Amino acid sequence: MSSVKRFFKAIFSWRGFVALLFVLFFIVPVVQSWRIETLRENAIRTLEKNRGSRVIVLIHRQESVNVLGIPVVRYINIDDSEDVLRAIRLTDKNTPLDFILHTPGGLVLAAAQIAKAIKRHPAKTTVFVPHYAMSGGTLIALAANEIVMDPNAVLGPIDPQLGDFPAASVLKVVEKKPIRRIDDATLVLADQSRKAIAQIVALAQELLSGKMPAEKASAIAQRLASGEWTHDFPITMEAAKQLIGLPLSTEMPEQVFQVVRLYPQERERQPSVFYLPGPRYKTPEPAGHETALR
Amino acid sequence: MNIGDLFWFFFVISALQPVITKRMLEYSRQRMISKIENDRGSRVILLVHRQETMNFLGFPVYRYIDVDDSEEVLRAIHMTDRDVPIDLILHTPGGLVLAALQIAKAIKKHKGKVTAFVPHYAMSGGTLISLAADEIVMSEHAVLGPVDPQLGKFPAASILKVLGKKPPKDMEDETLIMADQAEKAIIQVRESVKDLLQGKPSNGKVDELARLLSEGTWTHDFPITFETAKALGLPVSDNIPDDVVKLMSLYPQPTRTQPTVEYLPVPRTRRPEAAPSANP
Repeated sequence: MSSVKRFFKAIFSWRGFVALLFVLFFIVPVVQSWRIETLRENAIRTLEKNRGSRVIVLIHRQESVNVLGIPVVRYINIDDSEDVLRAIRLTDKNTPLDFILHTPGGLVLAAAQIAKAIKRHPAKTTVFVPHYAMSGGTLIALAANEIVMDPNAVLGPIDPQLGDFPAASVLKVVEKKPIRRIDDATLVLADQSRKAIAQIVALAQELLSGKMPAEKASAIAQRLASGEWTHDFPITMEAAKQLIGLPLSTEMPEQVFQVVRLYPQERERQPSVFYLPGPRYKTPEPAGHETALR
Repeated sequence: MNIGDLFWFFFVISALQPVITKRMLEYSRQRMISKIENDRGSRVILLVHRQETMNFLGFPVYRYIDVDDSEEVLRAIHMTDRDVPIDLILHTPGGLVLAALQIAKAIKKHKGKVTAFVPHYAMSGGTLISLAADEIVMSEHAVLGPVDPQLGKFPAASILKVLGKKPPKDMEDETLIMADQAEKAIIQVRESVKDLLQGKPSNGKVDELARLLSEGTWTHDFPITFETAKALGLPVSDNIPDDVVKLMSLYPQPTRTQPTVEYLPVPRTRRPEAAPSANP
């Protein structure tokens, strides 16, 4: 009895209170990360159940600044392709694949591996692009049977980049300058550029084959890979429909947005976009007021 | 209560104080936003980039419009009814063309009226977003900026100037590579600006306006004031609601350093009028 009393006394003293606070400081983050983990699993499970498919999420957020103050840039790398291929291997041949892509692109090798695996999957494959899938992400999207884009989402050109330079622009130097005035390093790059572009065109053509006539596939591959635009050019849903001519739909299930939402930017920095959370409907009441505003 | 307890008491209070201040600030922001939303029957979205304090190693962190911002803004638009007007409050030095264009295009598509409020500045990418709005409301001294694209640290337009002045065989390889990108970038931005301005009152001058804004007429930090913007034919107005200005003051620069601008934070009128009101 007296030990219980002593325990309560210890808890309700100042020191006990402070100790409690310290424990909370350590436990709360653990509980939070465990909770978000469960929420993600549930969201993916609901989507899988509704669509009878395997759902794979590939999200690259530009992670917050690391310890040394340098922002960590995330992109499709070999680890990603390895994980994705493992997930595909664990999927039954007759189960449809649903990909959720949110990525600025990445290594051609990794993206090509994923794209080819998707192309080879016998059941239906769908790629969801809720916000953006540039470069390597677009390459992966080309492999799918169907691309589902949000009306405001964008794809990007797939022209290869060598280090800091777009391959197509390196080739322009060779065109414009007499060869003996060009640096050796640039000539070396130009040789690689020529090969890289040809390879990507061939790959894109292969990914598109079977979904459209061969000439059309080759024309699309050429346009996307030849550096007609800068590498960050946004190809909107309308442009993609006209240009790519793929089965492109905008019927994005609401659950896809919910899944993406559960992978927030890890930030200790201040957010820069603010609005009151929750949907905003037109209320019948201020209708007259609103017309008066116009 | 002895000295030790007192020490712990102060320790806990000082540990909790920043949390409480932050919560209170958040609460007053939300109250202000919902007041504006109710008054105007609109959805209010803020895009505010303050140049952050140093991070803990002392490097300043520069903030600009990035893909996360565009994602967040698009999410807000997605959750807004198609007919509900949108009020976008911009305070930004600009950012990625991709992100700014995505926001601009989404705004252009929105059915309800879109108003861009610029209480202080919206340069580059911020201006691109404003161009998509049906109306730009600037405060009297607010500025917009040119939207000519930048490649790394060089303005695309200036790189092209090199190409125009020197024969290609005398140019460095790297400059030629960048010139190719610069050319594409400028054309893309100009065409996007044209698209965004399509159907606006300034219709006759769309081509000329797009060229002026995107082809490096000015340096990238050139301030386009309200008068200039009006002369250019942009749909600007200068009656910014007080509430918007008040709201902005709730997003202060998060600095721990000494403030560099000081004044008494009250309205200041001429003395004879101020005297009676000062009495009570």
